[in-house]
Amino acid sequence: MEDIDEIVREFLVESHENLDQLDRDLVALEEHPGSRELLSSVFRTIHTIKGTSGFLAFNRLEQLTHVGENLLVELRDGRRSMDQPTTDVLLRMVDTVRDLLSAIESTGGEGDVDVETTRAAIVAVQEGGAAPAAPAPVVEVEVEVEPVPADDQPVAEAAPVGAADDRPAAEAAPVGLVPAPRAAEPAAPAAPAPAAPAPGAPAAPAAPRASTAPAAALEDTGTLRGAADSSIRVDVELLDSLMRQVGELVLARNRISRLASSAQDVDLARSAQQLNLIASELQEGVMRTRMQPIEHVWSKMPRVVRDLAALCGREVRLEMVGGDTELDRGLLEAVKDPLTHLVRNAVDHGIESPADRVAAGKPPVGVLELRASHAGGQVSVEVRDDGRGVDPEVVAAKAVAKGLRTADQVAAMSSNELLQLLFLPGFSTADKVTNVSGRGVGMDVVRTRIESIGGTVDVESTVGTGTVWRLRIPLTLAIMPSLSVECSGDVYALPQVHVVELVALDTQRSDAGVEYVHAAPVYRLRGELLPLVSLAGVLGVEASTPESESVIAVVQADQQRFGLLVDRVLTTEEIVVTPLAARLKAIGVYSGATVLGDGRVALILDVQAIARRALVRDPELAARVAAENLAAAKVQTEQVLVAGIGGGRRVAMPLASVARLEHVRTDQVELVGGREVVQYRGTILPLARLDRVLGTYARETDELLLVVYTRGGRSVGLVVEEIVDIVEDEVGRHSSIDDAGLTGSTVLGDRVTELLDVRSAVLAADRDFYSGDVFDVLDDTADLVGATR
Amino acid sequence: MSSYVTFTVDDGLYGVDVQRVQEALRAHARTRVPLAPEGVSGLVNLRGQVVLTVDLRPRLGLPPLGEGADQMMVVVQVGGETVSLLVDEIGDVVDVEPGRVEAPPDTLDVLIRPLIRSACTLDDRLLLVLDVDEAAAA
Repeated sequence: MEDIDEIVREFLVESHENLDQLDRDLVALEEHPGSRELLSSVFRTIHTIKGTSGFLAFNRLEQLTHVGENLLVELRDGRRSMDQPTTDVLLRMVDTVRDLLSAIESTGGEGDVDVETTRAAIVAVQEGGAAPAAPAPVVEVEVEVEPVPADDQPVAEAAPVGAADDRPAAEAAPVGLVPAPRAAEPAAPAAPAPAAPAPGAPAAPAAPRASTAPAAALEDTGTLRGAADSSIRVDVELLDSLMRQVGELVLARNRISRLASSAQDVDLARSAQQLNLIASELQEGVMRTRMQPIEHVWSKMPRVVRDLAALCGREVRLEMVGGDTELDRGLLEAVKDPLTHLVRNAVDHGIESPADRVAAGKPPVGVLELRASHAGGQVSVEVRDDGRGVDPEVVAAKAVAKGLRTADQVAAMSSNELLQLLFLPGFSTADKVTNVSGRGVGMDVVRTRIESIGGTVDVESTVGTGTVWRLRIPLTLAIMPSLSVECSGDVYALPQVHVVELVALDTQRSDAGVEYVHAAPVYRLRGELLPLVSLAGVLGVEASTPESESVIAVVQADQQRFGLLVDRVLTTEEIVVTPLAARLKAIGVYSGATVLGDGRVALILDVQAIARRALVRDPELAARVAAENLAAAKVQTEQVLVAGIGGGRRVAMPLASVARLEHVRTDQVELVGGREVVQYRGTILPLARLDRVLGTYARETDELLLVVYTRGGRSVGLVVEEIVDIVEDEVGRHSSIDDAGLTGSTVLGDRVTELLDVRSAVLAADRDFYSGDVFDVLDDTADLVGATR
Repeated sequence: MSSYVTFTVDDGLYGVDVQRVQEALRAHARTRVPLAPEGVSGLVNLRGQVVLTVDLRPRLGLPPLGEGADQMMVVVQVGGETVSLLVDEIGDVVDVEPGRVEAPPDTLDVLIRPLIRSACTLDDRLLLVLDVDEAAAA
């Protein structure tokens, strides 16, 4: 009994795979009605299912596939051509077969799946179109590839498809040299070729193969199936446990490496090295076994697009690039639904109806492109359509109408930020709810799903030209790059995918420290207010470092960007993620744990959860920050380079006009006409020593630090003693002083800093620097020193 | 005949079913888990595996041991998960005849009661048998 169950299970697994292939083949067949390979492939699949179901006594399944096969025989024999009703009915058959299979899977029997209507539909199409509606086009009339009459062919022979597909290719090579007169081919048509094919026959399949590009593409699907024959099925759980064990091996390896590097034992070091190598290769190998091409998910898309396009009255051409891009099978499973949703959305809302497209000056057939590629340890998947695009104004209006944002908020947002609103829960731009999308399963679900596997999703759109949805997915879930951070003496792992940048809070050097907006700490990062969240605060542990010495890890979660205050940033490392006990997961701050290289256990921070926890507590904070940002934009600031010039004096100069910073050796300085110059990148660079210009004395050193200003083809170097910092300078706070070479002073980082009159300093080095554009002089002055005068 | 791995916490002698115990060893350095429920004492690295550690003291209504006190871990299997119980000292494995196993005494604190499956009268003292699942649930 158990044996039979085993056989049925095998049959189900195999058939499900075959059906996916069948969907793809049928849709492709509609586009290339003459393709022999596709027809043969479809035929073989149905035939295999029919044969096995007869053997396993699934009678209704057998009956259904039998009529389907009859229809296919006509197609294959050229007695009818592939048209939409035929494809429809065949796809319907596939669906019914699928229903039957799932009934068998769940109940062990065929259940009460309705086969009869589908069967009747097939027969109707068959009878309706039995008399060839039109003389079949030349391409379609090709000679039988299969030398054996299909009905007699045992199941076992039908299975190795790859071999069958290779045969015509092999034959094509020698025969291709013989000119095959196309006109002769229609003579061969209806011959069912039950016996050995006529001598000239193999030439026919050779023709489309050798010539057209689509044929080459189709051949690929053939070889793909062939490749499956050289593989075995492995239980996924076995792979998962292998992966876990390798993860542990990697950790053990890390510890041994650490020990070996501290011991002075050469042999130990050598062995550790070798272990290192083997473990890495093993890890890579095991990871590869879990990798599957994204094609597995895409294979369903042609059918989805076809059905949906028909339903919505669209004409869509689906292009798929990079289907062989591989990613972890668990992730593949996780991106399936979001990806399908994006594809459906693109067909339904993205691509316009043919009439609208033509009116907009576009070809009637819309192009939907799926593109996958590896990029920087991640897989990037794009869903790109050339439809009407998303209008940020419409999105803004919608967000306001739905009360998700206020009018003031949207007014302050860039069009890219507006597009991000599409991912808000409760947002749907569809004017009316259709059968297809707009059923509440929105982009927020797509985002949640993608982010739950550590990926990101992004949208770009140009009105009138199309939309691109871009998914970034990690290669594997089990191992991820992370940043180790320290907080109150404990080490935590911060997944790198969320980290945008790191900022050292150092109040000693700049005055842009932590500010408070209604008791909520914020940090002014390049003029934008960044809400701050103290990790110690979130975790409820005592802070061990004063805020002023913390490091801000700027992280991005959902749409929110915030600064996570940590004590120290230690290192980046690849960590192996171990799941947490359920009761620790329930805390909602950690997404897992990992063993670090030194053997310590570190908790992995769930950045999204922290954002929700810490920022939602004060829902108005985000609004305030946005408002503040708007206000901040009005305060004129500019970045200035602060340099020490000797004698304890500091000057600030606008960073915008600085081209480079350079070191030159003092002995490279030459004198030309009483002025100092250095040879620099093949030109002569005049120098001005700011200490002398401003009347102070710098230390004598063997190296000069130059701030190089470039304008047009000319450059000058201003010699300073040291570069102190780059800071934001608020123009409004300047006080004017009247001294040669200076335009005013300001307070930067608690120090009075002089504002350099760059123009006069530059002129001190090169009297002709500004000549030749007299008219610009006034503007330049304003440019270079900021609007101080 | 039932076999129990025994250990002491404070002055009490406790035991867990020997079948559930994977190993007993000196307590490792733990990584604390902020915000975790009381009783979760942290995570330890047990030969590359991250294992949750439960301190039995708060569970048994006892004051925590002082910093730096030497403790032991009894590693048990709970529903497919490995959990280590933090105890004071490990004792012997004892075999108890069925006749000596009794229901826990009524005088037991109500908070502790769900933890105790039975009480065994050994020759010289009382052994309280812990319900491993309850104890590890912290």
